[in-house]
Amino acid sequence: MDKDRLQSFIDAVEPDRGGTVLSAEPIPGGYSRDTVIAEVAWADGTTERLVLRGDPAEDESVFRSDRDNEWVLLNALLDVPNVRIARPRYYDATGEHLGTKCIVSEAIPTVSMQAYLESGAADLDQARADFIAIIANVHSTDLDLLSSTVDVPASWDEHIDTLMAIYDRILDKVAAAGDSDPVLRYVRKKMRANRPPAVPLTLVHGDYQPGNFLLPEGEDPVVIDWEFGHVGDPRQDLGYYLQIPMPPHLYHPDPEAFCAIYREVTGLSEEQVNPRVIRFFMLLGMVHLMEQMMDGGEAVAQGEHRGVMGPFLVAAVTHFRNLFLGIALELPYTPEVSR
Amino acid sequence: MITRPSTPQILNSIVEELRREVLPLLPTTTSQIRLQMIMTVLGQCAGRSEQEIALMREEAAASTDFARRVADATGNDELRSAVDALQVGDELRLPAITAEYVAASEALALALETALDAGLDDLVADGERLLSQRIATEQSLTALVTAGR
Repeated sequence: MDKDRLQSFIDAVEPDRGGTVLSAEPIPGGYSRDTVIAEVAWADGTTERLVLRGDPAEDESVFRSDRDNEWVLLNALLDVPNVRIARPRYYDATGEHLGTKCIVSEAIPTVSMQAYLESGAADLDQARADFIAIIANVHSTDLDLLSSTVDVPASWDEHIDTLMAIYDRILDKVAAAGDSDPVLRYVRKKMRANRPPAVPLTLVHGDYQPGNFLLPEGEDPVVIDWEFGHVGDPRQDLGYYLQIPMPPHLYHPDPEAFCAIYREVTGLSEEQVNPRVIRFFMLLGMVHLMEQMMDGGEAVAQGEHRGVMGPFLVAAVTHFRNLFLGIALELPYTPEVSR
Repeated sequence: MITRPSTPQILNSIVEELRREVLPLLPTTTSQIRLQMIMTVLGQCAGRSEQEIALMREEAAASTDFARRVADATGNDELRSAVDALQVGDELRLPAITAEYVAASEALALALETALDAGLDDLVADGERLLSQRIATEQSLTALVTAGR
């Protein structure tokens, strides 16, 4: 995704606009996709900044997501009035030009909510309310606008079963590798015995954190990084956010208040949304990434190369096992019901 | 066998060299972050290499003892068979120790599930304590360091 490749791509997708790539600089430190920020000058005298998000090489990465699905979702979201996204511009679906499958979107010239929070200028109560309102907006998306292009589970029960089955898949792979994981075995057993109350399925962002909300001055917030977006249980997003480490955290100081605001905005009940349920949903909101990190570790064990991320994320597996265990230890277990 | 420097001392020395001499030479933030991740992993390997075998032996013994107590309390045949199959050999090479550890881990998993289903609260608490200790040990060797964004 360097400057020369982008120039070739721009020439191919905009042959009549006379685009010249002025710069293409990687944004370092991403755990999942490779990201580049670029500036293009067009023949009409205008310039434009673009963000490129592409797949890293298979043997240098751990996390997997589907650019084709992301491209479909992004284009479907263009027609959704309540969610503003960075407009997707181009897609190199084969990697023919950019060297990897890559989505090119407009760059939003502003800071993220995370940067704003870290600046110390934020009223944290207001920031929390805004943070909740943005995701509640995402969750209020009319699924009929997406259903022609995005998979929608047949029912809430089916969706939860699919998420819980990821634990089965992880543990099957652990066993097939000749290993054993008593912690995840315990987590699975307690989790299955504590199915939460159902809620309507919604659009789920899949990486709910302030870093993925951009705040242009005087405009609606922009929600970015949709690689894990899907239709599911909205509480997956809330549970996912619990494990985000970057301060200042908007949930942990007062979980009850956070849940109360979310309930007020969405109309869900206290039985459906409370700190206990949200903690439970970390088990479901993070498990897909847990699986990928464990796959990465197993690949290293099999002698395959996964870049530095494979070995580095072994520590993250321990970290998340600890979080999962802490939640499972709090869950009740009644043998008569759970057998 | 060379005992001085030990494996952890060698690894820690390499990490220091990377920090002092290589890291400042890297021209991009991307490569600097990558090297910091490598240094973190090497540092964890240093700590792990110092204790790995002993820790697995200790945990396996505790898991086996727990599984045996649950088997005695419940009379569960599958668990009894798993416990009876556990063997501690004289072999100290890593593959043998790992195999013993995995077998004991499987017995722990089965025992805790059995204790939960039998409603044996005291044994469940003991098993949960073993899981917590296992995680604490892992964390002491592989503290998560965030790098990147």
